[in-house]
Amino acid sequence: MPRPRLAFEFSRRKLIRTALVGTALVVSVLMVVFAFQIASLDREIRSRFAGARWSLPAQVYAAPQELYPGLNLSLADLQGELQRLGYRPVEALEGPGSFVARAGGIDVATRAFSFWDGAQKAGRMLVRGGSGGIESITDLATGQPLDLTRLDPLLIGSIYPSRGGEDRVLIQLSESPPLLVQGLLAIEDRSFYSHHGISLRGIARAAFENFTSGRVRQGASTITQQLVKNFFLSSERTVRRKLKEIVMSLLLEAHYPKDAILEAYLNEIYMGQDGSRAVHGFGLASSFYFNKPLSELRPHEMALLVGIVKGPGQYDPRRRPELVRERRDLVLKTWATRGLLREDELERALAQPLGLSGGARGGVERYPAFVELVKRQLKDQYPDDALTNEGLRIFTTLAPRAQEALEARLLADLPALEQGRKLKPGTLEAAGVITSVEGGEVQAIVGGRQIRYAGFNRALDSRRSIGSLAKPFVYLAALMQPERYNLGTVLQDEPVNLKLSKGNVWSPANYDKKLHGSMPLYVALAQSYNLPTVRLGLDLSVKTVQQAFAGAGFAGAPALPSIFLGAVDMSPLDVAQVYNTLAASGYQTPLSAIREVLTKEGQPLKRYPFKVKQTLPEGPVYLTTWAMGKVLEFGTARAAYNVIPAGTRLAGKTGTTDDLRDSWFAGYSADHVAVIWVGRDDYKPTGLTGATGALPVWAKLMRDLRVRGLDSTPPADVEEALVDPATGLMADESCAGAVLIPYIAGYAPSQSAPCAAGLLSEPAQWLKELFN
Amino acid sequence: MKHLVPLLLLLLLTGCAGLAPQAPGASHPQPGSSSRSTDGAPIAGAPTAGPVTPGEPVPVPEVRPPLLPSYPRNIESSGATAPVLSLVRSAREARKSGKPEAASASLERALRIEPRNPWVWQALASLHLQLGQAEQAESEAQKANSLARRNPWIEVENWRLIAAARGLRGNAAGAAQAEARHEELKRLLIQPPLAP
Repeated sequence: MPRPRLAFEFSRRKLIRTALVGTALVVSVLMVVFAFQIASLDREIRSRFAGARWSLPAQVYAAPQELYPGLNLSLADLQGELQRLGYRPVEALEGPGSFVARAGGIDVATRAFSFWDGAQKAGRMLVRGGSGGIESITDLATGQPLDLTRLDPLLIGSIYPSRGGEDRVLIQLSESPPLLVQGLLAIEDRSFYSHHGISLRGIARAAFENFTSGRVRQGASTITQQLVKNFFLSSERTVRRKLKEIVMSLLLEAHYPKDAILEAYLNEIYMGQDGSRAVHGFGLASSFYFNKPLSELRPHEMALLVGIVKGPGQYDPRRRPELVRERRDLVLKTWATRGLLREDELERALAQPLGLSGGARGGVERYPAFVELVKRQLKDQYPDDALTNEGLRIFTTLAPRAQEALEARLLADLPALEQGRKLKPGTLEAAGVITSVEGGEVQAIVGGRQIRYAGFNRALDSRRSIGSLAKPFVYLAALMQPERYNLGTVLQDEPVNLKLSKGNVWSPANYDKKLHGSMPLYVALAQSYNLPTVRLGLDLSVKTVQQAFAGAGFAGAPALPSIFLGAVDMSPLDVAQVYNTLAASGYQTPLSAIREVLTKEGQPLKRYPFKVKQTLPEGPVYLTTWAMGKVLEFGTARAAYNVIPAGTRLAGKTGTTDDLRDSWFAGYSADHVAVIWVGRDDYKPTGLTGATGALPVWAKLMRDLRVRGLDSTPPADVEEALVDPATGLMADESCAGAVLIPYIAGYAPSQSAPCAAGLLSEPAQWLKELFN
Repeated sequence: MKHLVPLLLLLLLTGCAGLAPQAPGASHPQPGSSSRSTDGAPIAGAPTAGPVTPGEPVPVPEVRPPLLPSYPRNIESSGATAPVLSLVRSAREARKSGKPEAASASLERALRIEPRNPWVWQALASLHLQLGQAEQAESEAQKANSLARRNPWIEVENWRLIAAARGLRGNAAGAAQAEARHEELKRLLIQPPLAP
């Protein structure tokens, strides 16, 4: 045993050395790991903060309300417009966004707004009006009359990502009301401007609470910590996460100035939920809860927003108003004790109700069916993330008054239709579209009875047989051949048997299963008789009728004779397109829902200019419209004039499908095209024809819209002639029941009718029916 | 007075006597107006309104306009409303200062106020022609013709625009036809007719 001791000595020293080296190694490895972790956290927080800091959903605006002398807008309507925009009624004008209504006029303090064609400054004006609409507009600053101005447009929605659903409206610290900012700090983080991201006192208190309660609870966090927490949304409450949050907060403070952090907080913080949409930031919260910009909030409204920061799930102003009111009042009192509010201001604020806008839901997501169309039209041109991330500002064609008239009409009339047919309430569905004639702008869309929910959009996606809505295109195709057909051409109402390919025979019948003898072409359209239409279509050929459809803007009509009677599946929007071309005298304009797209800085990105192309000849379109006027005067839609003022000339067509599955009406005035569909989602019969279902809705809608009647001046290539409708020949004063009918110039009948030659003729059967 | 004499003579020559003078602004009648010019018999050689190939502009019927001394000569005297006039003015300024987008935005805004104002459609056509958008320009000038209610002062410029647009699109025959219409109208409007 020469060296046992030595060996022992040696191994002990070695052991110590190994332990030392090992410890050092472990420590340094740990330090490296820790350093790496910090570095990675640093990268994470910096990229989150500085890089694409927020995904900014595109903001979607309605068309602004133009104001000018002569505009047919009553003062009551103007007041409605202002209230929809969140302008508040006051005794004497205050800042932008307020108005004073008085007899004969309204004083308005308008908001500044950056339109696509330039900025419009905030201003004060007096709008005078009477029964004929707006009479004058005076700039209250200069006393000068204004020719034209416009209100800021209504924010109607935003395009936010479907995953996470974060939505926000970006604001800047500098434009936030000082009371809101100071008031927020007074409640959430009094030492914000002096700490380094964390408050030791807060952590100590949280630690003590966690220790005594035996579990991990949230501690009092600084604004910085709350921001970090919101950046990396996760509800786990572990020590590890808390440590991560503290480190990141310190790092954030080391890199960025206080104001930048505070501004980020104002935009990031979670403020509530709207279905699948998460409301982030004070900018959106202001419009979501109060329907006005942040700069116009009053103390009690700011206090509400600051109050709910603590827990928007728990403090939901619309679900738990009492709890929120308590919290708001606590905030207000705290502000007063901190010297942010005077005693009288406190009293006034405490006396205010919560003042939430829009009932149960927010003021922002009002017209989901319309916004859906906007999204689709944008999708072809912008990738999804450009729409949900880049804060694009999208100016649309939505006319809020038309939209609300359409909504109100459908909601009011469907229960009555159900009652009339003894249907269970909620059985019927409906859709509607309104467009402007010359610009082809979509002004309103309703996709179903659940107007506020973005569900199945029947106006865009429900393609159903259009029934007799197809007939005008058969007659148009005929009138485009003036050497063969005119409005007075006598058609025979006689049975048709058409052999189809597989030995089947198609034998259409009239809706009333009767035969009505011979009649002028325009009467066949006005009374919507099937047999003369099919005979006419067969004379013309299917292809010719398809071409008329295509000229109007629908290329999908199948090559079958059944298209003469409307075996064509179209959505209400498709129908609006083809009727819009008729209304615009044969000039086709692709229906558009968008006017302009701007970047978030307000730079124009893309305009959607008016596009017109003449695709149908004007004269024959005029004649078709004339005959469609007869549909309302004495034809299937004559009930319309029970509600429409007698002097207002309109044109339209009823549509009914087999077994009364679909009830349609499509028609137009000089300024609007409107299409209404009523039916059932399960394709069961409704018991309604176009005349009993969709027509009354349409007629009242046109009345509510106060549409302009059609211009009765024929185009240059059209002349009028007095005609004997029984024979389609030239009449004179001695002919009873002679009618003034427009013709393509040069094609009016030259031969005199028997009555004009002094011979008596028996009135036609269709004419006798009219008076029986 | 000096101008009236040849115009009255013209009226007689074109066989359109008996026409009541139209009020200024009649080129785009207001709602409810049902005034209709009652000029004469069918014009020989009026175009047939045959089927159109979808997507192809349809030729506008070439009908001889009656010459009425009271047809407004420009938008300022046409009875257009103040907001429309002010938008048309700002469109002119924008165009002059090289901002065609702004000009077009102003004109479209004007059309939303008066959708059937032929002068505004014409201004839009002229702007699009300048921008080389010939097809659009031609359709807009045709639209202006449709809405012109036979006002030769509008039509003469529309036909010039149509001729230029057709030329740009390589439709030489169509351009020549439009040019002929333009020249004819110009002659009627500017040159006094020869003494009988």
